[in-house]
Amino acid sequence: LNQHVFSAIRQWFDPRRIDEVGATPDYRFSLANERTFLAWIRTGLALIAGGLGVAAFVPSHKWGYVREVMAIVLILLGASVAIRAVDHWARSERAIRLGQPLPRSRFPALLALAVAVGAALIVVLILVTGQP
Amino acid sequence: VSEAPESRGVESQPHRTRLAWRRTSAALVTSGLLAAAVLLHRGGNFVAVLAVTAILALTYCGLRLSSRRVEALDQAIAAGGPYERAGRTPAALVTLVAVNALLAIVVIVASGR
Repeated sequence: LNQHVFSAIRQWFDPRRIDEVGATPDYRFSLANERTFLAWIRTGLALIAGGLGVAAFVPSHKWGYVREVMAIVLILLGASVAIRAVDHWARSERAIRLGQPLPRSRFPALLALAVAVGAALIVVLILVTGQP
Repeated sequence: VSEAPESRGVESQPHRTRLAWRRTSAALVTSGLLAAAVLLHRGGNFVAVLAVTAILALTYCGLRLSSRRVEALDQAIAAGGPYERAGRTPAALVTLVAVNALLAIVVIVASGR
């Protein structure tokens, strides 16, 4: 597992490893892959900004550190979205060069589920305690 | 009609990518400013001030990174290609965002309630 993770990280930082496989694709595919990567980065940044916004502007909660926990969970989620974005970008670039189908992932579904569950928990928190 | 919509889409690809980098720069600046807002609203000790300073410095590095990629795309657009691949830029950007996220947690923990 460690070797697999290390190899994936090397692929992110060493574009020559991707260039060594397959054929140079039409530039439009690479640019489209780059835009998808950027869209995921913005999603990650939005989650991080959301966490910072919670820490800065939501009033302190009577249950102690609820506000801080919410903020840190959002920031960690944002960081994981960003890290997954570069991994997906590198794997897609490799697949495009090899003429293979693009890698499939459960991550978008998991992220959607996490956001929905988080939103539901916040609603419950507001209903139970009368404050966000 | 002088050209098919498909061919217009082909020509707009580098412009769309350039705009995507611009939007990402704006998102980077927003998160950097929000880190400063946390410090302003909650107060904080020396560690929090140091972390916010580092976040703002890294945000500037991210803007430079984005700007370099936009310039490369601009030059390629003006010359009619070839379009260089993103290379190490995505990995560098993600490293920066991940470090900023960790520093943001430090700001929240180190700032007052």
